[in-house]
Amino acid sequence: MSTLAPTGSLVAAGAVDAYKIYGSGENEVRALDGVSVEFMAGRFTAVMGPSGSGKSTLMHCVAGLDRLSRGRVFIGDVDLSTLNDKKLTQLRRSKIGFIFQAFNLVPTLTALENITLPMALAGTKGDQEWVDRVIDTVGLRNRLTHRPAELSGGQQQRVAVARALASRPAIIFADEPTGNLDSRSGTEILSFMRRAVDEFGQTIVMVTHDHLAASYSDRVLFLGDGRIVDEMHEPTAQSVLDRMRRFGE
Amino acid sequence: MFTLALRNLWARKLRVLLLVATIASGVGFIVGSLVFGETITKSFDDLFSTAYRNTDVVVRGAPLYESDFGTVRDRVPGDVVDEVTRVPGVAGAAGLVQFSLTVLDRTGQPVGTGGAPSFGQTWIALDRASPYRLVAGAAPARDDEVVIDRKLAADGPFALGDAITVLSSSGRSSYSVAGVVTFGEQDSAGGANSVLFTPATAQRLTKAGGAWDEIIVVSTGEVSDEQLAGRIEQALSGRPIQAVTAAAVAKENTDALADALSFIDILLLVFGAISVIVATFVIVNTFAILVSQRLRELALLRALGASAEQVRRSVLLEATAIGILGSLAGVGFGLVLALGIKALFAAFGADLPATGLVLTPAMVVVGFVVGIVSTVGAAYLPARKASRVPPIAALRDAALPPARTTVARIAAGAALAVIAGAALASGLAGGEIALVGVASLAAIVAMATLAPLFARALARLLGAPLTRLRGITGTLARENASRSPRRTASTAMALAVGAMLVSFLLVLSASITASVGALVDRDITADFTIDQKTFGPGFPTSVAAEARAVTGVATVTPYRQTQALIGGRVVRIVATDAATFPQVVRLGTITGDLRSLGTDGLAVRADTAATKGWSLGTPVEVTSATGTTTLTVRALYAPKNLADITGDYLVDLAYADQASNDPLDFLLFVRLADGATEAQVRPGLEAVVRQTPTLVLQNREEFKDSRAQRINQILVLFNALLALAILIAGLGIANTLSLSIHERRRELGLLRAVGQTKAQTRSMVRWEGAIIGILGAVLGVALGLVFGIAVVNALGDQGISELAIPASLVVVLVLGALFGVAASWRPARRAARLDILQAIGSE
Repeated sequence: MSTLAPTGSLVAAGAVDAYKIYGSGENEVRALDGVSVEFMAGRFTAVMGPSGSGKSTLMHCVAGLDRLSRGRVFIGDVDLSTLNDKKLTQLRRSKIGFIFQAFNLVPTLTALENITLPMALAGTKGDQEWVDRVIDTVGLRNRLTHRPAELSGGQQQRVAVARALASRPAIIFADEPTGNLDSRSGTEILSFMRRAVDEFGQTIVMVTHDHLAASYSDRVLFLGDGRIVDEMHEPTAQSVLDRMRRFGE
Repeated sequence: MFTLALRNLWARKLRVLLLVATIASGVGFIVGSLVFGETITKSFDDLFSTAYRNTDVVVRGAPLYESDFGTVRDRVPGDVVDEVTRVPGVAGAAGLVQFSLTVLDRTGQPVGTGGAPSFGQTWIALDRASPYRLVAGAAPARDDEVVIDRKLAADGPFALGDAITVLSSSGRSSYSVAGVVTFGEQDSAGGANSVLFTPATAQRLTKAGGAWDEIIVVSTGEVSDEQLAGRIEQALSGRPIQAVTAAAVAKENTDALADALSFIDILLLVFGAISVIVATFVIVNTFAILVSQRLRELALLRALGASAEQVRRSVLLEATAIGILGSLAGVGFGLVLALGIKALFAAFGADLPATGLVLTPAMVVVGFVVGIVSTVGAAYLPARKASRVPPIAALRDAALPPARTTVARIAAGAALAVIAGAALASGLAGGEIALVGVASLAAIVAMATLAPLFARALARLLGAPLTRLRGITGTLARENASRSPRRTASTAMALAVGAMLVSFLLVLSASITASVGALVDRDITADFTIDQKTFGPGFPTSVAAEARAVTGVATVTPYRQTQALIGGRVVRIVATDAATFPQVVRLGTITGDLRSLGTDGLAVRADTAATKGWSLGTPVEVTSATGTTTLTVRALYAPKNLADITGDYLVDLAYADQASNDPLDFLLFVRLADGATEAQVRPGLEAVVRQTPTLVLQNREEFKDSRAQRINQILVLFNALLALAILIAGLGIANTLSLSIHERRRELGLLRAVGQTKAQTRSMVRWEGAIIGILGAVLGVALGLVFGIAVVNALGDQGISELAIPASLVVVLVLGALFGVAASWRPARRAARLDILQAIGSE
């Protein structure tokens, strides 16, 4: 199934005919089975699907953390399959932001050091004004010198969001960002992400199995058995839930 | 639980191998020392059994005193031979003298320089009494004929009828080789060169005046050797002699030589102990990390019903298995080490008698006890910690309860530090080296106890420049090194032990070198010295006479150090030309007259005389190798420095020549006449020295350098032995880092995901290794400095007047950092190769 981009939008990242195959013969598992997808710039896309549907694999491959068996993935106009490990690493720290479910932060670094980590690794200062604005947006001004162990789970995840935004990446990948949080902190994180898209024009791709989280996105992709089986624009929690229920049938 | 312990071992083969190697090195040194000691004893036992195998009883002079080199005895008067021969049961008796000499080959160079001693001896014409067997030629018939051993004949090379030149205390003389002998079945007596002279020549060379060193007696076999010895003593009662069975003499000689070589045993034991200590740190650390990694597994076992006791036992069982493997490897390593040392001796020309290595069951038991006890002992604390893991930890991310409070740690560390200080103080005051050893051990343990308290701060401090140097990579390295202070501290301590000893030796040797330099600068006024190239037996007094004849030479002052018995104690005595000595060595204020010492005068250091209550004119009984004489105190001297060149007692050569059986000079001080320059006189002196190839002519600077060189050679040897301990510490660092990386792999995955390149990952781990390395070096150098300064201060009155802190200590710090980098090479590569997704997804 192909997706149609709204006219006038730029494609931030995508995959063309992507296969990810583990094992061979009888044991062959197709985590991705011919996926083609485009993620539009300035949009918030959610990727949903039951366990084993390939949603995490898709995200890992598009984010340059894993390599495809066949097919192409690209960030902007860069084909990731043409990059060696070093170039890929450099691309990750300059073009991609990450928000993981847990253990997002380096425990030995302070909140501020964690936020600026990708830029520090690249050896650049980054845009100081922008970093300040991000910090204020997520409300971490008075926690900057704290280490992760001294922060609550919600605060840690806010640091992760700030880190992802701080380097102004072309695209942010979020892997179950609210999976470990209580509902209030979760809502807070999702609001920040929504604001980032609306106010800063940030592109976000989020893998989730939570229909409430998906309802914050502009568009939901549904994966099943390594293929894109459906998509939904302007989702609500209820419509997503209804669609997900059909997987069980 | 037993199966589990074994499975754990098998699952971590490489780690086990590392621990086994660690233990094996310590056990190896200890077993090697035992094997070498026993092999030496056996070798010399064989040697002396051969030497006396045809002799039944030995008659020798009464003991005068015990010197550092064995019992000093009076010679046996020549007429005793006849008296002994008349004793019923004696088949024959012959007198024997033995003396050291240097054999020159045909080019005039000494044969076997660098180790193998050469000695001259009387050819025993007595039927079957000599251990030597003629294999070519004939016994020496004329006084200008000698017989040599087969090894010397080959080394020379000397053929029958060839001329052979020897240097003895009587100077240079030449002989014709009449025959070649073997020592029993061996080519030589334990590698030594033997030259056998006619009794008359031997008497002349030793100026023995008809007396003998010992008389060897052959029995008719009618009575036992013990009975025969008894008969001889009875028949000669009233004469100052002893009759002893040859077997007893062989045993005495063996014991004395084994005793003289025991320093090698002790050295190996010390390094074995050092290796064991370092290994203990590595084992404690490794087990501690393994336990914390297996926290959940252990908690699961507890949850499933394993008792705390069972958990503890499973860890200890694992340690026991490793200890057994390590001991086994260690015994093998010890044998190799003993072989290596034997080979080293052979390389220096001191061929030990061909005896196989001696390995007794007792040595194996000692090796295993050391290996197993140290391993299990080191694993005990981690094992106890493991048994305290609560079952609930299986279900949540619980940390282990802290083992010890800070207060208890400070108290324990302080107590150990006090013990170390006290042991050091009393050890130095009493001259007890063993106590200094105990002190250093206590200091190491004190440091290990206290180090976790300041390791974090110190690692941060040492790593502070890294942030500026390496940016975020540096910050991460620094923070990683300081995040687990206990682990970092104990990893660094393994290296600190080596660094401590290296820097202690550096301080000590630099201080000795500086002291020698200062001594030469300040207290020696001679222009040249004539010295032996290596530690030798001394050289003929004729050299001094020849040097005196060189134009431009004002005085030549021979210098010897000898031992004698004064007031019931064996003391060192300087023998020199008392008249010219003050012109080449500053003696400070001299009371009395050194010129008047002669054959019956004694000069004493003023403060020594004061403590004994002696003054000018006091008679003092002195026992030397030739008997007891009463000397009169004729001069007192008060050198400003306490250096040992002047000694406490000083006699003139006139006395020394008659007080020794084998008068040899050790060193000559040469002073030039007014107006003569070094350049003018040097060729003449060189010509004299060239006659005696064992000697070297040196001006003041050269003399200083050569002394410093000797000290440095010893330093190099010690550092080479320490290299193994340092290597173990390196393995320990590698071990800790790879285990730490395993623990942090999720974090590493995150760093890689958000943009850390592989090169940055490697750099981060290596810098962490560098910080640990430099931390170990800093701790070690600090301890080494404390001990070095303390020991140098204590040795102030032994001639080490200067304290020197060498700049090479900085090199130790740099090496520590480099060492940390080298040790972290593999862990760093492993960290960089981690699969990002697996790392992020891992528990």
